[in-house]
Amino acid sequence: MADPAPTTGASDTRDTAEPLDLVRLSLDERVYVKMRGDRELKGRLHAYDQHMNMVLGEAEEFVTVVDVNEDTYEEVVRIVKKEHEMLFVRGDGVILISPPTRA
Amino acid sequence: MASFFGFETTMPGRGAPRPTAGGGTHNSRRGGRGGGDAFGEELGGQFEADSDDAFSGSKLDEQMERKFAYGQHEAGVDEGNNDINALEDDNEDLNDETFGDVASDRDKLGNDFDFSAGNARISGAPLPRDPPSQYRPAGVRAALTDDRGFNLQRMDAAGEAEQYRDQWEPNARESIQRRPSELNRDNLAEIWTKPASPTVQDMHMNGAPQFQQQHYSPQLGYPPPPPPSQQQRPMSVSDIEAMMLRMQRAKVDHRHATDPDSVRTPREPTRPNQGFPPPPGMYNHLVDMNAPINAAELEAEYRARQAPRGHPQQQFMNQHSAMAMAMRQGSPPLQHLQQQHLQQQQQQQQHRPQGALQNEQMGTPPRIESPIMYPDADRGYDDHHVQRGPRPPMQLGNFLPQSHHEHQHQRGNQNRPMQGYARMDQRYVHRAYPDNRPDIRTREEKYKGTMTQYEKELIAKIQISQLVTDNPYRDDFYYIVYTSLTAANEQAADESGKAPKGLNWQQSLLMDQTRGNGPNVTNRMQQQMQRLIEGRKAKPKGNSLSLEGALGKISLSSVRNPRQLLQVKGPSSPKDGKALSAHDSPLLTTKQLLRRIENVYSKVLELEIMKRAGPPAARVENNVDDATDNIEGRDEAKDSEQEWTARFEEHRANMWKELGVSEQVPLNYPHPFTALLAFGKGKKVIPRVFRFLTRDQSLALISTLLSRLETLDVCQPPAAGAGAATSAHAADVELFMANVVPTVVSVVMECPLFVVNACMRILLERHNMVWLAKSKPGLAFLTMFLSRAEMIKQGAGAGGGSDFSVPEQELHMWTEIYNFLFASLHNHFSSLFPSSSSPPPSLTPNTEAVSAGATPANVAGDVYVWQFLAALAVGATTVEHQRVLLTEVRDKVLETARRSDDAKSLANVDLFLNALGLGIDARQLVNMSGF
Repeated sequence: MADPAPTTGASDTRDTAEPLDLVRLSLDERVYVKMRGDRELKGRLHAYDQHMNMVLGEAEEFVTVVDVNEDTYEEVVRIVKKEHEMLFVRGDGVILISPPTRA
Repeated sequence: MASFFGFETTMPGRGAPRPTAGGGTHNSRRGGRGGGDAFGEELGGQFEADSDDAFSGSKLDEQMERKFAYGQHEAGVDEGNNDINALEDDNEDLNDETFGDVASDRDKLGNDFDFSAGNARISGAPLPRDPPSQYRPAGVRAALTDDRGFNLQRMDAAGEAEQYRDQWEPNARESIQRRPSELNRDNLAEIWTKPASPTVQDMHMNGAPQFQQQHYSPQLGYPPPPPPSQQQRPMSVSDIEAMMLRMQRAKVDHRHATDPDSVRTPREPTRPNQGFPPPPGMYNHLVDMNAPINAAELEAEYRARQAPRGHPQQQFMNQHSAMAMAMRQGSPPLQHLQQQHLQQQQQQQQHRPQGALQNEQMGTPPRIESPIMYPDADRGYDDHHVQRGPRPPMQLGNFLPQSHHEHQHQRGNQNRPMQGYARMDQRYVHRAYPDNRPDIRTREEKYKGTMTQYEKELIAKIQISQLVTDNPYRDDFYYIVYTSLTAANEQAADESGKAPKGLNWQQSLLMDQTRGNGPNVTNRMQQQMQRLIEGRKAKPKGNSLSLEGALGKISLSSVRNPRQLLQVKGPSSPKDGKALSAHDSPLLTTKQLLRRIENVYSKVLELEIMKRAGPPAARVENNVDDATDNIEGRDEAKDSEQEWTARFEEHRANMWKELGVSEQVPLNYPHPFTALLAFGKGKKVIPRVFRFLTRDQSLALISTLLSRLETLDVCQPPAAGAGAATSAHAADVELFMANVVPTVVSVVMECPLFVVNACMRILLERHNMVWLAKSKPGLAFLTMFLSRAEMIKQGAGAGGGSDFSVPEQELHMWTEIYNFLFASLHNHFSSLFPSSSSPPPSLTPNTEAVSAGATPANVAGDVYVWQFLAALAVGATTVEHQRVLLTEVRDKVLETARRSDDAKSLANVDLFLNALGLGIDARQLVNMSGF
């Protein structure tokens, strides 16, 4: 998960001067993006900007859909998965960006 | 709305039914319209009169255009010395005089007038008021009580009207010619005494109110609509009222002789002080009125005439005219129009066999009609529409300075393309009638002229000013690169294109759409463009409160200058860094590595920008549009080249530092450089890095790489089992092979033999050859060095600058190295093949080994091995080497050769066999083997 606390680097004190530097470090990595509207994205981060607009490559989109049974009011949660070769994500829908976890 | 309809009904020409599409027997322009409606024709005549005597209308066009074109806003609306204002006030004054009641005038102007010009269309909110009865002309009353029955249909004596107009057309031009001669009321009267001269009549309409009243005397053949009782079509009371109101207004205008110099456009909506009565008598000296707005009305009329005839359409026409009326209520020009209309009715009457009426009219005071000057029907229509009231609240045309106003007078009746919102009006008019005909206008025609040239230029300038940037490569990188890539193609493609290269549509517009089309104008526009761009560049970006030409105040934040929401301070004091003990550790955290990679990228990008721009001396200094300009280069003039070089070196040094190649790290620790290569982006940056490395740096990098191959993930055997990890590893390997290896090869291929020897020694000392040869990158490196050494030995590879005379010592050393390598790999040659060493297919779900050892992917993997073996065979120092080699891989050769369906693998085998110098190919070998 994105760690907002800037970790000061060893040799350079400005390892991550601002939160978005963490996103910068995730460039070209597969990141997890949680979006508003019960959507999640996983994809290779090609580009981003200060608005957290992003370009994701080979992106997978997971949309959580809650179907309510009209009779019984049962809620059935299912996840719809879509794949996009390239995806532009508008930043105002981004909740969080998580860099890939490395061993 | 009801009153509106009624109102329209009374409008001559508008409300007139058009049962007979008149047979125009003449070739006049009017005839072309085929209008058979008597009312319409009358109106047309009136219309002509307006546009005639109001060349002023054209003048107004000019004026408006000038305003739009230059956008001068200096002329204060309220300034008394402004001609426009004076004229407008004059209008008011005239109104006052006519109505004799300031209050009524104010009511009309202030209340009745629809300032937004939209209400009238939609709701017709301000209804025309019934004027006080004392203002009602006697003639109107008489007309209302006329017993002869106002038959609207009957009034459409199309043929007669046309004939009449035919007579007048040529004269109309004459009258235009005479424009400058200022006809005053006196000579008008003089002219009027010659009834046979239609020219004079056309030109000027003059008449005192009392005369106007006579106009509507029942004796005239075409009285205004009769009272409801006599009308064939029932008229409501409101209709009658509206009609009366109209009459009254006509009376108002009537007395204002159209003077050529009066150019006042009754654009009431734009004038805030409209409703206030002017000081009494203040403008009495101004008796000249022009009625450009009449022209607009008449355009609508003309439009109506063009529309299909029929009763249902009548209604709409009526509606339209009523709305126009409402918009213009209290505006003298409209009354003037009506007046003219009535006059024309009269004149038509004269041509009728009703001699008595004619005689009666002859005795009347000057009553001059001016048939419309219709140089071009459509054009005229457009022109007059420009002056129509309904313009949005923002009136660009308001800003006409005095000088322009004066100038406009001289311009006269030149045809001007329709501009402004005239199209809107036209569309509106169009919509007013249920025109069932298909609109054959093209899309371009429909919307042509929706925006004035000035508006277009304004928009274009705003957009261009946003486009201008100091550093296109930073702000518009992709476009610049794209254009540079496609520039060559485009150049060949549209060599004939007239648009200059590298222009966007805004620039094209500003350059093309000039009023004249001479080269000078284009040049001038081009210069303006240059100035615009330069001015934009000179301006400090983003921190100005308002952009020039912007529609209003813009916010301080912009794309380039976003509002700062966060104020995050980086650790400024060095103690923060020291606090971490990780500083001493040679092991870098993942984040540090990633950050290094990003820094390398940053430096590489900087270097690329600098390299692209080139040293300042090589740059074209004066080219403003030079895309390669960057800030740094432009600021320094003389010593810029040295500075540039210094900066370049600085960036290079920084990049080198970030790469960490030269860091001294114990061999048992992972080297930071190889750690960088563990990341995909780290691999990808290598080719770009190499372009900026010195030769020594390149060799240092390669030697570091070679000595640390064991820590390179791509050299590790793929993790057994897990499919995703294996495929990821394969992707990593591919990435490495695609980026790092070719770069290294390109460097090594220019190295002399001693460098190759040194590199090979590093490899041999540091690594287990069998392990290394089993990894694809290792094998590639070995192949590379073998090939390079062989090339040097044969003297063919000296192209890279290495001398042909290879020292014997080096050759000897190479032989030793080769022997050592061969010995290391002895008995392991066949195991080098990934197809034989890969796990059983059932355990490897990835694509590399789906079927038993012979998949295309596997064969592709074998290619490196075959190449390596071939290189080894070529470089074999003894026959024994070759024999051993062939013996060991014999089975592999046969196995591959038997899969004769695979041409690729066969080619690989042939490569190897040729390298051995056997002069035999795989197929022959199979046959020889007897299988």
